[in-house]
Amino acid sequence: MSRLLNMQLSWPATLLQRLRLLFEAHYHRLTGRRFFVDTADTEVRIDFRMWFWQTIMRRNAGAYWAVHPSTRVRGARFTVIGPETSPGWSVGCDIDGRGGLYVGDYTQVAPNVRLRSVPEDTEPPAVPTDFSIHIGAYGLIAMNATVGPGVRLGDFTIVGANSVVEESFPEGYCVIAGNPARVIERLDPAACERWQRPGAYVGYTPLAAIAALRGRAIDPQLFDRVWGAR
Amino acid sequence: MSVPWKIRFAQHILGVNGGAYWPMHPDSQLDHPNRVLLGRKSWPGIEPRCYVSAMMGIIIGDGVRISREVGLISGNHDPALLTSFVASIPQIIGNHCIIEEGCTILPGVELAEHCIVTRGSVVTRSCLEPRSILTGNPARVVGRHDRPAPAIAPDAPHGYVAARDFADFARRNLRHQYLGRFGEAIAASGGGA
Repeated sequence: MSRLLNMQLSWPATLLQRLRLLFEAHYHRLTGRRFFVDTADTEVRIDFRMWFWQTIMRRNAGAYWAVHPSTRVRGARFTVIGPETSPGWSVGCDIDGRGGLYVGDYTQVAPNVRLRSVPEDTEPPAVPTDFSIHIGAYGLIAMNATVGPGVRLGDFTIVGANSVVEESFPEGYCVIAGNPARVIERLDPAACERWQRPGAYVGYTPLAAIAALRGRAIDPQLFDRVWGAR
Repeated sequence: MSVPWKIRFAQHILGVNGGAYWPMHPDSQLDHPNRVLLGRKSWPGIEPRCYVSAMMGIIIGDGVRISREVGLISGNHDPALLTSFVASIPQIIGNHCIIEEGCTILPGVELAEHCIVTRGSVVTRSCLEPRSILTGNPARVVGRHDRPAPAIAPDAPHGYVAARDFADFARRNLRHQYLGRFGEAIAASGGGA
């Protein structure tokens, strides 16, 4: 087999990949939207497969950010995300924003993370007035973690693998892990770097054009809580 | 073990996880397949929703059974700057280990042979005692077992790569510098062939 010589895709897959790259590189000529090329080098690059399942097959179509076809997003209208973060970009996540969900700037979400903003056996509110889960900027939610309703996590909070977060850690700058989650390490706030990417994207939308999402993809009241204050 | 046609179609026609040299489910996620040294009859990520993150190298022995939602994480993010990674030694999973659903194996961990990691555990520290049972978050050794392991034929393939070709394959394609002492062994054996 060709696999013996070098680790490469099989020839049909190579052909399809070429076509995909061609599509991504020239998509903006057709539509004027540059998200494929502009997010190519970022942490949450939008790839053809995610775009295809969301836009063409309408799976998780309400989400205005790129999610993997194996994740489930509910309540995308009540979910507000910051630039360059995509809850559900990794495989197998369950993102429930029906009770109001905020994920801060540049926060990374690992595979199989469950963000449950609605308590068990309660009906979600028709229109939530506040965020049930508020995750700060520059955080990391590691694999298989669960974040329960009413949780506030500050900036630079790192949630360890397989942890269940049911309490708030609003001060940030910590590593929390375990079931239930406890602080296992404090980070030095002076060492933490608040980097910014020029021309960042909020999902499929450039940060500069974020106002277009108000009312169309995001609930206006929750939108103003985050983006009105900036 | 034969590979389901859907897996073959996804990997070889559509190219989903097509960089892996072993069968992998399209709902699993994979980084850096050329930093994984795979044994015979072990297919990480054949179950859905696994995450094989071989940033700092993963060495997997023969006959390792890896269930769904398992994370093999070999590179830690730098907590102060999450886009960069902390260098660490490769993760080693010994022969005939069983990793049950929802487990996460953290960077630098070495599991001895025949270990069992039970559901939802997080292995943060190495376990060098063979035949241990690990449980909990963080995982502790709670017992021993003497479950017999199925025999593996010496000509069983390493994923899609036939056994007789694998030494050559590993020498040519894998990133030896991430594979620790195994990488050195591969590089040292590279004179012939």
